[in-house]
Amino acid sequence: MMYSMKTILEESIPMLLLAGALSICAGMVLHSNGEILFTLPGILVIIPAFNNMGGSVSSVLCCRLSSALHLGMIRPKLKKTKTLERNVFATFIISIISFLALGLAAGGFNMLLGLKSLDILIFPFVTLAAGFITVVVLVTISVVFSYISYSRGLDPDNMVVPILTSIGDVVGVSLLFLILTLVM
Amino acid sequence: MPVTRSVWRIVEETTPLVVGFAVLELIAGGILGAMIIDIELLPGLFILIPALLDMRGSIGSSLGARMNSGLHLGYIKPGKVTKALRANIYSALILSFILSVILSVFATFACSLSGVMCVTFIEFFLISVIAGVSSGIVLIFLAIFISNFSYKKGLDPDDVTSPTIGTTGDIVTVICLFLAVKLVLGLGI
Repeated sequence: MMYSMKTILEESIPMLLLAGALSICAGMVLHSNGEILFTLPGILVIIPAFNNMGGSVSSVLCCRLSSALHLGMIRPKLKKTKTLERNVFATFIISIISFLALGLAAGGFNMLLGLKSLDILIFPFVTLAAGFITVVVLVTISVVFSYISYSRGLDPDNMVVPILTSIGDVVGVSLLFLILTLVM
Repeated sequence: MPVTRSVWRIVEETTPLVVGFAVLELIAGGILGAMIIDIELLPGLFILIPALLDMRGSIGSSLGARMNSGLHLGYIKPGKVTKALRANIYSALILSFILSVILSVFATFACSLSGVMCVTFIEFFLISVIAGVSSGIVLIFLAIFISNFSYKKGLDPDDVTSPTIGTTGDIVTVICLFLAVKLVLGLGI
């Protein structure tokens, strides 16, 4: 699978367009919750970190799967293997620790900056709940997409990562505001 | 082999990075929080923000992931400008520009479709292209540097590049977005 500009562009553009359209949807969710964001700017502070975390946790999984596929350590068939199981399990543990930590850090950061936000004791649980569900969705998509794109001879690196991040944004931001309205 | 490591190795190696970068990324969030007044002046800007952040991340992370696979397989040699590397750089640059333009079209379209009061297409276009292309250039070099660096240091680049590029990408993009917004507001278009 040698890299040429043509193949990279050909494989990337359709996915990036789809990803862009999905992210615009995430933007619409933000926009329609503008009132919450203007009254509690502390929520806006976690948005990049929150979106990125779901994306990066599952992109790491996807990168590892794709290297494993390239190297022939996982067969491109949808079967439970030990390697796959371990990687998925690890991803869940990483995301639980990370989303709790994010909520705590954001609460502290907001107090430091004097930005209005959620209570520091509630914030970590909001980020954990919204974040963990997002990661479960993303992991499922990540595994399925990696195998499909690889078995069709497409490079999963070009296909999966952009879509994962954007789906993560839409799912993540929607869940975050859903849980926020339940808590507030 | 990195992919067959135990669960705890993976957790141990990845978690501090993910948490550390998330904390760093609060900087990006803080800049956004500080921009809240400018965002109120440019109604609809929220629509563009996740897309801009993501696009940077996706182009950067895909580039990083391809660099990693390339390094694993030997198409790309650390510290050398090979044909494969050049193809990767040019594609990432072209993608940055095309997608910045398209995102501004999408944003305008989303506004008129939903009937939300938004800034004009010209403002979306200028903000998106200025922020997108300038941050794209910074990120491409960062992606190459990071994957080479982690490969040379014997770290598994897969664990390192995506979170690193994602985070630095967001900070760079938010700073570029801030400048683009100030510029557009200053021009008073």
